[in-house]
Amino acid sequence: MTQMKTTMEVAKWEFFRFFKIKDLVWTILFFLVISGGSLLIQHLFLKAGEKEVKLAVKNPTGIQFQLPSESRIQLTKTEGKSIETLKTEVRDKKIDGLLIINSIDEAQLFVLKKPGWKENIEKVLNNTRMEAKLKIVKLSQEELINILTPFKLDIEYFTKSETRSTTTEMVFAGLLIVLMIMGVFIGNSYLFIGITGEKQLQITEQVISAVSPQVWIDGKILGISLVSIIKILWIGISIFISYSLKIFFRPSFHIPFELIHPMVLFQFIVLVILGFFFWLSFFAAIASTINDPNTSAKSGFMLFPVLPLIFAFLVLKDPDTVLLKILGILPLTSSTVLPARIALSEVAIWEFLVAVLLLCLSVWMMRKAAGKIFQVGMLMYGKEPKLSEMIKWVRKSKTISNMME
Amino acid sequence: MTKKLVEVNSISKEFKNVRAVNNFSFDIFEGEIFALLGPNGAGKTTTVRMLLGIINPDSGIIKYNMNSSTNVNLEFTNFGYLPEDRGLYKDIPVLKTLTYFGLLKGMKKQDAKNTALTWLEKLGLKERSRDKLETLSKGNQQKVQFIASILHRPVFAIMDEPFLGLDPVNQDLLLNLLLDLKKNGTTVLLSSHQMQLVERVADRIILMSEGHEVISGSLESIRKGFDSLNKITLSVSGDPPIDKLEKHPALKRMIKSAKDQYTFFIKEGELLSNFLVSAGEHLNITHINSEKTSSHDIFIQTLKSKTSTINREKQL
Repeated sequence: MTQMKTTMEVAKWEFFRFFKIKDLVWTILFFLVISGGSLLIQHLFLKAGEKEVKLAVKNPTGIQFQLPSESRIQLTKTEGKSIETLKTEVRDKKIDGLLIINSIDEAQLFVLKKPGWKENIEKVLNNTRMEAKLKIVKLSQEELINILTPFKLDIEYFTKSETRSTTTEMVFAGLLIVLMIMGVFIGNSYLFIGITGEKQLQITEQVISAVSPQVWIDGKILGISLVSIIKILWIGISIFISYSLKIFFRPSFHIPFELIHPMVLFQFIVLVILGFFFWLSFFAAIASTINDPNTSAKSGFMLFPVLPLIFAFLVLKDPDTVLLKILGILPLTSSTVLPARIALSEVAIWEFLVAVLLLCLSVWMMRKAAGKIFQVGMLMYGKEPKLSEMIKWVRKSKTISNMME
Repeated sequence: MTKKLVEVNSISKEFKNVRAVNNFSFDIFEGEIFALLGPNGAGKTTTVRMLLGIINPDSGIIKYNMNSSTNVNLEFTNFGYLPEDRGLYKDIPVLKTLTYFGLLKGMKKQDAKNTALTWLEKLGLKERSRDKLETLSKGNQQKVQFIASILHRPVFAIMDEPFLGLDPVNQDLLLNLLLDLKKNGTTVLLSSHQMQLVERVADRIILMSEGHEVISGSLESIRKGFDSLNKITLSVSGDPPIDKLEKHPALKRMIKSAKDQYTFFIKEGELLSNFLVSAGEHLNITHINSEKTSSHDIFIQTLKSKTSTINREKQL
């Protein structure tokens, strides 16, 4: 059996160990419930906000004010009722409030609790007051608007980063970064479970008598990367479907399909896949030296992908700084920084190609290193090796016996 | 003449200043059951791992199939390995796990599945083939582990402490399976410290201690050297003056083998009756048992004398 075929068998096994249709169903249900629930709550709040408000107005000044026709505030009759009677009606919840206009500059509002419609009534009173004041200085409303309008300065940008970074794009880029990191963490936990679990169950030695350590580690990286990619893709789809639920509540809602360009999508896919291979090879090497992830000092390495996450979020601020251009090429950070830059800015094709080339080389070296560390680490129980020892194993790879010393 | 399948020449292995295997040599012939014996820490597992290429020797050579007609090399598919530290995926059905191991060993999926089912039936586990491994008893898990190591009909099967955790019934079953393997042409290396079990199937043995050979050869040839020793076990009552027998000229050595029970090894050529007359004078004998020295005794005796030699050498 060729090595490639065996690698594929191991990959298939690892894939089906961690891929569960049930998980996918739960994922989409989770997002649907969260999104549907929050939209429903939002909708109910809006409905509650549209409730009619009964407001009694005592206006001894005779100042005329008019509520907009669509306003939910309805003025109730106050003729023949004293202020005290109206206050009692407020207390008895017969009306929602009592407004006493004392002068053009001052009014009092009596309510039981903080009114959600306060801004509406304030706006009406302000407009009434402004109109009255304008009449005094003999200035029309148009003239006042003209005076208060700020100087208009139009800017036209020649770069995509400045012209296209709308809130939706920012959210889209942020989502990509989060999904990528989430996927790496999922894959990472599977690898830790897989490798350290096999060590604890003492399966490793039996397996290594069947296949070479390199084939074993390659199969694991391949299978688990695939599960992780499918999972984040599914989470992405679930978020998209949940987000699309808004259509049912707001018919004017628009799904930003225009953000998805085939070329951009292709670049994302390439970077995400290579990113997974890179990080999972790295974690495979670490996991090979760990006996029990619950007690290992190396479990802290699991947080390592947080570093590129921090850099990737800097992209949302300004995607074209020199630092981020460099980080977009370096293998450690390129799989998170570059997709976010592509989403928000114009990235030269050479930058993409160099990043891909460096990632491919790093993945190759990292998987080789992982294979070598696994070869030595699989039989090690007890004291875990230091980082310096692991580097020594990778460098002195000709004979395993040398590494065991 | 049977051909050599493996030739191990002066291999040594050291781990952090501990010499696990020291200048160790042996040959294994095609179709035989070869037993690698020794107490815990003798270097058996290290030797086995070197044979499988899991670790490399610091010095020495391991050659496979030098003059053999069979095309054996270090291809994984030719080996079957039952490691001492063993386990399988506990949360996965038995048949699925076995089929996977068959696939890794180059079998076709259907062939792996059918062979696994045949073995499971042979070992009375066919009904449990779809159960998760964790639901099986420890003994049955061991059987599944054994199947995983020989499912692909290996040319060379290496069994490291295969009897660990098995009850006497399953130990017998495993011994018969090993003989079946041999009958079907598989060469078997049996690494164990349980001499009394190994002697029932092994064609040749090598006893190792502290990384090197203590004794080797066929069981008959090894026994010859010890046949002269007769062993008498006497059950006694009361408080016997046992020291009165210690200096008896026919006695080679004596041990207290149980409460109120003593085992005496009689020198070559000495008459048992002479010793028994003396014993009868001093002891209140309630039961007598006489037999030839067993392989287990040889194992213990050889190791003891070897250890004392080494200690003497160290003192010098």
